[in-house]
Amino acid sequence: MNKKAMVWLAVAAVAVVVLVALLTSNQTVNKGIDGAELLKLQASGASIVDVRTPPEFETGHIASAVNVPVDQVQQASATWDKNTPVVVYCATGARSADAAAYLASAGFRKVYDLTGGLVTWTGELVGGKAAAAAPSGAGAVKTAGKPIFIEFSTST
Amino acid sequence: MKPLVERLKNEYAGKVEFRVYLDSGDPVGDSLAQQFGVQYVPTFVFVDANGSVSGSAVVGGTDEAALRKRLDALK
Repeated sequence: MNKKAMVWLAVAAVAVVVLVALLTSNQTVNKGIDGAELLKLQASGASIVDVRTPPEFETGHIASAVNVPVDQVQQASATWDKNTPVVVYCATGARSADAAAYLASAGFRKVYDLTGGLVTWTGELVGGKAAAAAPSGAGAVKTAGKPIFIEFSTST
Repeated sequence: MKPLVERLKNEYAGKVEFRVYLDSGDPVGDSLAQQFGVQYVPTFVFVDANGSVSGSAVVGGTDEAALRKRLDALK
């Protein structure tokens, strides 16, 4: 290989590297994350968006989260900064997956979705009102003589 | 939480009754959720053998150690 060909080869290689770097830098991230990653993103200034309904939000939500129900994400996000990382979550991950897909398609560069939703979240929730509403006193719940563990959960 | 609750259910079989209500229109679950003033978040409620609600409800995800502690405290 002569010297001229080697120069052209080097120029081509550099061009490819630059092109890949440019494409990568403009790439949208839409990634599922766990609770630990959410906390890191929260600490670094990411927006945390709870896409459940307001009554669900009021029962308890992740600190600093704003409530934007999934059917209002399109309208509300029109004014959001598309360069600020945004984390979405819901009860089980179904609604937040839709919200994340929309945000990524709308040009938000870094979109993260809490995989499995609050069902998988082991951190603190704030603003919960459930405990205060729970009844007390013997006979509040009918039992068969054994203690009862009751889970209320959601399929969405 | 489902695998964890299933595992605890098997482990505490005979000692604690496990009830899981999904937000699928189960009238018993809806009635209890209304009684407790809770949403299907998930929320966990612990009831003593005499029917008294034990401590506060746990709202949101939690870990195995916390659930075991509450289950072990039930009488």
